Amino acid sequence: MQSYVKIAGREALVEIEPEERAGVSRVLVDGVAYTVDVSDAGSAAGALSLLIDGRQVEVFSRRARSDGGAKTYELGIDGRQFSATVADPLAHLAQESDGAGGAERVDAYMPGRVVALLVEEGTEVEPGEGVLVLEAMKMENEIAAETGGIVQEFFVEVGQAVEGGDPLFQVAGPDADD
Amino acid sequence: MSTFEKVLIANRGEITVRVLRTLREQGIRSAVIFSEPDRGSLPVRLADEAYCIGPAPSAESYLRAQAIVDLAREIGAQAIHPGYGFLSENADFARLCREAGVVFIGPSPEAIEAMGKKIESRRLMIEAEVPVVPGGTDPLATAEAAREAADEIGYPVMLKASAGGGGKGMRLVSSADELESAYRAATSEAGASFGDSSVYVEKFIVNPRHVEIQILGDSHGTVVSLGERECSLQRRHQKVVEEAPSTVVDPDLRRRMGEAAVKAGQAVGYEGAGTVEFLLDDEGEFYFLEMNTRLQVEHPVTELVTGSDLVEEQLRIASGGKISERLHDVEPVGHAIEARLYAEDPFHGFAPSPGTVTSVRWPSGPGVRNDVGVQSGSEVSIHYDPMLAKLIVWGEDRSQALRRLDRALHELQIVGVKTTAPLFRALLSDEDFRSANMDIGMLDRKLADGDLQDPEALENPGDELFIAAVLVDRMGQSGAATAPPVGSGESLRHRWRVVARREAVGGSN
Repeated sequence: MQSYVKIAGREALVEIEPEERAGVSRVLVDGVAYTVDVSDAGSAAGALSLLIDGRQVEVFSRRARSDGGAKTYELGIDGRQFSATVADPLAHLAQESDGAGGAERVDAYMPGRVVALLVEEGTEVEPGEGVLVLEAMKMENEIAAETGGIVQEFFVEVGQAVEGGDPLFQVAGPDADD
Repeated sequence: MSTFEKVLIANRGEITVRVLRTLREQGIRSAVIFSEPDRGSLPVRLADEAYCIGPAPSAESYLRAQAIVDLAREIGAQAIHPGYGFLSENADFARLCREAGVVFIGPSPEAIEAMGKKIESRRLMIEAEVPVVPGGTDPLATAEAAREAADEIGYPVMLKASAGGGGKGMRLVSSADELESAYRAATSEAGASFGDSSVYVEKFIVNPRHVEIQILGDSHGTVVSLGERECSLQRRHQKVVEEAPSTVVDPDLRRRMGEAAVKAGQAVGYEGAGTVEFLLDDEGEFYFLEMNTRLQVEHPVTELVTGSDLVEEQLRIASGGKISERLHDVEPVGHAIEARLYAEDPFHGFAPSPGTVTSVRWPSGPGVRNDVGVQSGSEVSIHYDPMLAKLIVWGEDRSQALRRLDRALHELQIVGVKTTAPLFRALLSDEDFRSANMDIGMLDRKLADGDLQDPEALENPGDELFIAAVLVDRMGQSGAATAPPVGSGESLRHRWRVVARREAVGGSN
């Protein structure tokens, strides 16, 4: 089973080979092989314990969203949180052929109301540059895309009320060629 | 020994849990109020009795002074503990309690009022011979008058508008020859911003520390100091990390600050737990800033280094008893640090992160204390202060306390909301924080300059993260217990039922 996984600025091809014995698999990350023992026993929160060539890694997780065949998870490891996107090969291919390699979808992180769109669709923005303004908790919050790029599409309009998790806009990474 | 049989806690979240714990230890029946969204919250679940006080907005629930007093009478609560925030420093509420024959666990309405007004409290402090920031709030009619006042105080000084704040009408003056033009600029800006061009002058204390003294006062005339807390690590005037003792306070300074704080308390006949806040400059001079007439968020660090239970002291004092003998002339033992865990994203402008705490593992073990307001499943609402918990450690010295804090942060695991935990990890790698080299502007400066590294902004994510991601993905496909995606419409309760059933049937736990 193959997946394309993106975490922070790195993307890797990860393959899981069929289990050697219950709970133990060989996993390759960009061709480098590891023997991994997985258990979800002992945690009411469903946190996994991985033994990777003897090294123990405990992983808490929560699925943040799905985008067709690409799923984004929030992982908690060693007291830290990471965002990881896992795409099956078809979804990955679809993203690439759309020229949407590196597309980032920005969702509302809390309920509020869209009060302003700061740029037009098609405009290129810098990383962290404000794209729209969301009014919430009596404050105006400027929402930006972490990665820069072209604002491909707004999913909301001015005046619209949104819930936490609702998609706001999509930004395509600066390189459409992956 | 307290004589209350039942106490109503007029608050929510972490501080309500804190008070509940001491009530239970004292054999006092606890009653709490809750707003509609707080129905399932941890403090409600730990209380003996709980009563809905209104819908989400604070003004319609936790701030309903009359309704809360009426409730106390109705349920037979002899006293109300107001916690911090909300009605805790509301003199009218304290008065309502008094008139209704319900004990307000805190000082008198008169003490609350006296210390609540900047000009009045400053005047009282001057009378009590407590050092205050040199200067005066009388407006200066001319540039000459300003110059004279400034010369007498000694530079640098700050010109401030009498009619308002927010930085308008304020000018920092470093020397006498800057004064005249600064006066002109300040008065004209004040006039334009507030319609009143009056300005006054006070000493500007360069890079001060915020050091506060915990006091206790009882109805037998005793006021004692329990020593200091170092609270200089602030973001926009909000404390983030507090510790006790302060590394720059030696026994002599502790004695002098303690005496000043006691005098401040005596000046208003203070009863209960209170805090006198000072600015401390780098020459060991301290100046009264303000007094907080309530139990403070950071009280646990004092409890840990003095071996006290401040809520227990409050209860005893409020029922006419005396401060523990042990706490007269107490010296701090060891070092305690508190890190405030908020549901905010510290590396994205402290954006609030409301939502559900889908799972949490609190650190524990030697020297670790968590004062928590949430548990797995708790909702973090947009209506209230997003404090999740206080992570507090104690060590024999500051170095051990820092190691414990680091260890505790490794164990702490919260999923579902972003928290300020990454900020603390970044601080533990910061040389200034490690050497306690701080002032009240330091954290803001470091955040603005990007000096604090986000430990989660990875340069080169390791392979184990990628392995973890695909295995989580695969387990998710086979129905393991990851929380449902936001907005999926699937109820968390349904998912937990499925998990519980599976575990009951065959899971090994």
